[in-house]
Parts: sequence; structure tokens; C-alpha cells
Amino acid sequence: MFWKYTSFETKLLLKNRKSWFISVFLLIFFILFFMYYSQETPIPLDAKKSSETNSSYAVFEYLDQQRHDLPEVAEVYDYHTQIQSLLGMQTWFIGKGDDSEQYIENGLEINRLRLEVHELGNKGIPDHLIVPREEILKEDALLHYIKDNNLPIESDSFATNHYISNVLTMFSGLLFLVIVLISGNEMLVYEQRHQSVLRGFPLSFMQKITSKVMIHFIYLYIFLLLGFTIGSVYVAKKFDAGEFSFPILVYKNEDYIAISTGQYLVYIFLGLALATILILVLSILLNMLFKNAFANILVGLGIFLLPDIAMAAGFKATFLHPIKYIDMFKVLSGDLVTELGNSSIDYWNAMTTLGIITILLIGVIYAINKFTYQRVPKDVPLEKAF
Amino acid sequence: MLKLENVSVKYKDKVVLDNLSLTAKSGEIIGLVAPNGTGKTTLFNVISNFLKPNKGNVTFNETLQYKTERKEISIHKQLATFPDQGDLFEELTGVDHMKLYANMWSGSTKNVKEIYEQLHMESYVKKKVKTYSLGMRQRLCFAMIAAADTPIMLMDEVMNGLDVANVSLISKRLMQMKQEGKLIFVASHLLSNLDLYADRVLYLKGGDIIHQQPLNESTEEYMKIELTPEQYEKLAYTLPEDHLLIAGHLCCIPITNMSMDEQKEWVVRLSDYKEKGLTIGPLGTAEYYEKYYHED
Repeated sequence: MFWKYTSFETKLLLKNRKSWFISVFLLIFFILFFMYYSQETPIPLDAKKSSETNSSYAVFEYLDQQRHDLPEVAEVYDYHTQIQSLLGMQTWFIGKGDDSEQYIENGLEINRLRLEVHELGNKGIPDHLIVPREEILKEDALLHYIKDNNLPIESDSFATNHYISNVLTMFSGLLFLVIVLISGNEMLVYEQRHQSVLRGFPLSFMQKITSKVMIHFIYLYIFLLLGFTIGSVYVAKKFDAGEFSFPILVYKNEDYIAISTGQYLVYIFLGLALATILILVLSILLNMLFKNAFANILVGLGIFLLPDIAMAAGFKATFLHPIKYIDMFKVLSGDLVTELGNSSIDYWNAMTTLGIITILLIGVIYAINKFTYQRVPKDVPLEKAF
Repeated sequence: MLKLENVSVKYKDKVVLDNLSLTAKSGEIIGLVAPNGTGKTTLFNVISNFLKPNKGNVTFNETLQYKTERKEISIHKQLATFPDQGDLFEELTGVDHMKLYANMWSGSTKNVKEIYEQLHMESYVKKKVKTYSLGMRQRLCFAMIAAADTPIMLMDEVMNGLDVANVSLISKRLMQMKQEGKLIFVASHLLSNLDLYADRVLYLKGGDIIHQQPLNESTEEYMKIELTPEQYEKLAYTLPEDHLLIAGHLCCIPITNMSMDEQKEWVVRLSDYKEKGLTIGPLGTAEYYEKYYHED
């Protein structure tokens, strides 16, 4: 019975023009984004290093003025001289020198020296030229990963990461939420337009919504994966950016760790899968409460923006932060930690919280449905909505 | 098979069903008759639990009541309701609709073809519903409930929008379903059509059943003639005391206890007034309908 109902619901989904619009959007979004973004090529590593060397060189001007009077500044000056020299070597090794190992060794040494400079309080260095400790730790994690996995580093090794990060920044979060909310906005509400056909099926309400959530999830997820794959193939062919073994930094346990791009994609798509299920279950609940397709989108968006509104109003409202966990890109990158000032938000923390919220929402739906059978009519008879 | 006890449905001051009780058994077609807005659909909604009444119980097979969702599912496995043609899916075909009902209730679609052939729907059943006329849609709704093949069927306005041929076709199919032992409720405004297949007709008024008319049991026979008020005035003093004047124009004289000579005498006497014909037989649904709803 369940599968036969599911097959009918699938037929309805396939006949619905809205589903096709969403499918086409998901299929072309990534490739169109990459096409548009291809006008802005990523800065190669050698150019980045060269620019870093120049910024670092500017520090000498400030240190040189004070090092004769202040011994702490003299110490920083010494460290900085070494850093400058190593940066120059790195530029050579990534370019004509062509030696990944040395590039990495020098990079690790630079990070060590920069941390020493931090220990000395960055004396004599103006604030705008101080490399933040967070950046040093990120760079260190990346270089350690490359070293441990024996990856040959080249000037364009991070191109794949660059494109993927950019497209996911754009997609994850609000856009993703809107797509899922639109897809799920009529899951139950449409039944009211076909009430006499659909109302009396010998099927439990929970079976019905399981079927609906499952179908919408599979359809959204298939087209999301297909769209991303098409986009990735395009990027790989057009920009030679098909290197998925290079690391991406991920925020974990108040620290940054590097994981391969492939592993990162598994994490992000698992996260998006859970977030999709959560939003679809939320849509079912909103459908039950408001019985209106537009309300589903508006209330859903309103809930997502609540933490921002609360922050703008000066409330920290930590209990609202989990709402933002559906933005998996920001969770993984640690951007959400900075945005919300909550250092406990990492991937597994977010996944656990989203899982618990989903179970809670299912519990509320179950309870509301159960309650309809316990209610005793008083002034007016009780009409069954779904 | 089905028992309704003291069912009341009221919306604040408006009473739709008032302490209504009813029992029905399998193999019975029950006609439900009342003007629009008098609670036929509400009664069906209560039987199928789409509407929880303010008071009263609905019991199936002596024990099964709508107390929990599990019990509701057990009941709904035996009960299907007639869909409104406005609720059909425009983008799906007739076969899709029939298969849906067949799958949901009987669990198999093997009878679908036979049903649409029997209802002469082959020419359009595989086209999208948006191309159907009202009559085609109505036939599809009937085909859907036939495909569900449940022991209990609630059919609201089943003959709506059908031409004479299709009314006859569906009436035949209803009789066949009755033979199969199904309990069928039919709410219809085609009163004389109900006389063809219904075992009894219920007349709803003021939220309750004001009359139950068994149609296949031998009942009192009447001589029926239409009279103007003046003609009735003239005849009134000669008419037997137990005669009926329905809706102020249909004079019905009971003949069951009359001798043949007395009957002949009445035929002769009434032949002066037979402009619209003189008929002999039991009171039909149409006559009772006039009696209960047109006399106010």
C-alpha cells in the first residue's frame, strides 16, 4: 500500500511543472555559475606568494625605525628577516625552482616563526600588517596535509577548491533553503484541492508524510547531484580543475583541520541531505499549521532569518543559532562561528543538532496528528484537514 | 454492518444532524433523499470520519469505531467515498485515477480494464482528465469507486450530469454491486431512479431521518391522481378518511382494503379528473419527497 501510494505521489510530482522548473534550475545552476565565474580566474599560488612577500616586506619599514631603541622589536626584526627570506624561497620553489617539498618545508617554518612573533606580541608591526593567528593555523593545517599525503604542489593546485568553494558559498544557505521550501510548499496543501479523491485512503498519516518527504528528497537530491556533477565536469574540462585530492580547511573542535576536496564534498553533500530532510519535514509541519503554500515559504524564510534579526536587535539568542546550521558551507568553513560568535559550531555538532531538530519536528507532527483523534468537539464538529 | 447512534452535528446555532440513528447491513442499497443543504454530505462525512460529530457513535461490524488512527484505517479499508469531479487531477488520465483507487483498496489493478469497458469508457479513459466533459468525469468517478471495490460505498450525487443512457448503465452496475453483497449509500436527486435499485430510501429533514421507505417490500397500494384545489374541494367529502393529499395536488387513495367493485367505482369516479393520468401503485420516492419537502 505504502509503495503504491508512493508511486502515485511520484507520478504527481513528475506531472507538476513546478518540479520541472526546480529540476532545470538545479541542473543548470552550477554550470551557469562556473561559466559566469570563469571570467574571474583564481589567483595562481605564485602570484599570491609574490603579493604576500611584498606585504611582508612593508613590515621592515616599521621595524627598522624602532629596532635600535627597543630590544623586543629587534627580536621581531630578526624573525621577520627569516620569514622574508623564506617567503622569497617559496616564490622560487613554486616557480622556476619547482620543488614542492622545499616549498612546504619553508611554509611550515614560516608558520612557526610567525607564531613566535605572535608570542612576542607582534611588537613594532602595525595592526594591518599582522598575519592573524587563525590564518597561520589554517595555512599550517593545509601544508601538513599536503606533506602527509605527499601531494605535489603546483601553482594551480587549488583551482578546484577555489571553484567549488565559490559555488557552494553561493548555493548553500538562503538559496538552498528557498529551493527546498518552494519544492515542499504544497506537499500536504495540494491535497485540499483534491480532498474527496485523496482523503479516505486506508493509510496512516505518518506513512503518507514519509512517502512525500522521501519522494521530494530523492528528486531534489538527484537533481542537485546531477547539476553539481555537470558543473564539476565543465570546470574540470574548461579550467583543468579536476584535482579532488587537494585539501580544504574545515573548522572542527575550535580548530581548523585540512581534509581532501573529495572528503569535503562527501561532508557537504551529507550535510545538505540532512538539511533537505529537515526543511521538508518543517514544510509538512508548516502545511499542517497554516494550510497555505505561500505561508510555507514566508514562514520558512522568516525562521531562517530569525538569528540575524535577533543579532541586529542586540540579542545573542544562542538557542536560535541551530537554525543557521542548514548553511553547511558556513558550518564547514567556520564562517558561522565568526558570524554568530559561537565557537562550538562545527560539522558534527551541526549534524547532530540538525538530526535532533528533525526528530523533534517529526515528534511534533506525530503528536498533532495523534491529538486530532483525542480531541472532543465542543461548539463545532471537527473537520479532518488531511 | 454499520450503526449510527445519536449522531449530532451542529455549528453553534445551526443543527445539521440531530440525534440521528441508523443501522444498515451488507447487500443493501440505501437511498438518501433531501433537498440541498439538509445534511446528506455531512452524514456521509460523519460515516467516513472526515467530520467528527459533536455527539454520537459510528460503529462498523459491531465493534469497530473511529477511536484511533489504527481503527480508522481498519474501517477505511472497507469503505470508499465517491469523489467530486472537481477534485480530479486534470493532468492524469482516467486510468491513472482508477488504478489509484484499485491499488489503494483492492491492492490490484486487474479489474480496471473490465470496469472501464463495462462503463463504455474505452474511447477516452486513457486521455487526460482535462479533456473530459462533465458526464465523462462523473462516469470516471463512478469507475474509481467501482475499482476500489470496498464492502461499503458512499456515493454522493452519483448521477449528476449523466444522460439517460449513462444513468441506466450505472444503475445496472449498482444492482450488480448489491448482488455482490456491498452496502451502498446513494444520495441522489434522481428520485424515480432510486426506486429502481434502492432497498430503502431515507428522508432527511431537520437533522434526522423523518421517514424510511422500504422499496422492495410489499407496501400499501394507492390510486394516484393530480387534482387542482377546486377539484379536490369538490371530491373531498367523498374521499376515504385515510386518503393522502401530497403537496396540495396529488391525491392518493389507499386501495389495499378495497374490494374490486369499490376500486372500479373509484376509477370511474376519478376518470372525470384524469387530465394528467390516473396511476395505481405504491407511493414512490418522488411522491414521498413531495410529501415531506413540498408541503411546507
